[in-house]
Amino acid sequence: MKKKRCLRFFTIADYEKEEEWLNKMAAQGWNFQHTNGLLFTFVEGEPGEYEYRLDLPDEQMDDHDTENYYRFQAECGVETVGRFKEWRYLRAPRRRGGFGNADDLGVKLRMSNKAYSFATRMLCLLLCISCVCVGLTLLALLFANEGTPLSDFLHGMQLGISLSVIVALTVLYVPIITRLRKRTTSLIDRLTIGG
Amino acid sequence: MHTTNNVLSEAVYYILLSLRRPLHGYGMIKETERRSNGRVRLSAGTLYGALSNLMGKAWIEALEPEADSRKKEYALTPAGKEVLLQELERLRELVRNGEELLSNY
Repeated sequence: MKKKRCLRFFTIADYEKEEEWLNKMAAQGWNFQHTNGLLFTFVEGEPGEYEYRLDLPDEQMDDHDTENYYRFQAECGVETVGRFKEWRYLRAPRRRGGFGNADDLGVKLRMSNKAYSFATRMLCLLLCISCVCVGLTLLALLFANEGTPLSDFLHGMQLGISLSVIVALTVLYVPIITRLRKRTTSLIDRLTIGG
Repeated sequence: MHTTNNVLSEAVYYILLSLRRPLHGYGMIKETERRSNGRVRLSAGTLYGALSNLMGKAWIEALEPEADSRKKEYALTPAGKEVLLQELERLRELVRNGEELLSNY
């Protein structure tokens, strides 16, 4: 069976583009098999056999509920093909109707909201870790007894790295979160007003 | 006269209708598709969320799976049937008013 590997990078806000790309590959007969977030592996199959969709488990579901949810999906013909971090890569055979067409907007809204919450949680968690690092380094600098120039230099470097990480995370995540929030708001408007 | 004001989505309406007899998830998807002549195709994700909500409202119930089956089946409860009848009356009213007001428009 032929395999193909492609290098691609998608942010959390690009999950719909990623889905589109996976479906485009599937239409050309390349079925998604695995990813590590950058490298995507495909196996050759029948063109247009599957429809692909990305999913994030609902944050309010515990492990048992999540397992039940994906088991139910499997009973309905939806297969979990791959996982990367929290993301699940699902596929459904097109001859069985793929992922359906009812409640399309509702599905998109739920997914956008889940991605928004996920990105916000990730940013908060990473910022907390970075802030703890900064705090510990400052404490070490303040209470170090007669620190040598080398230890002062190392602590200074650690502080610099931690602060840089905070700035980098903010620069990286804030636009992603803003895009997801706008997407969610626009979907809510469409759901309320129609169209 | 309506005692409650439940407005069902198309998906929920068809899910409840399909549960006149016990069905599992994929059975509901197929029944809905067949009844709507292929127009309404439920996704498993939407169906899972809808079933949880409907069980919470006690409009449907989950049946114990048979020994030789791992698939859980669901069935309409009397409360669910009542909601369906109310929805049918609401839909009739919509059609009646629409026809009446648009007939000479």
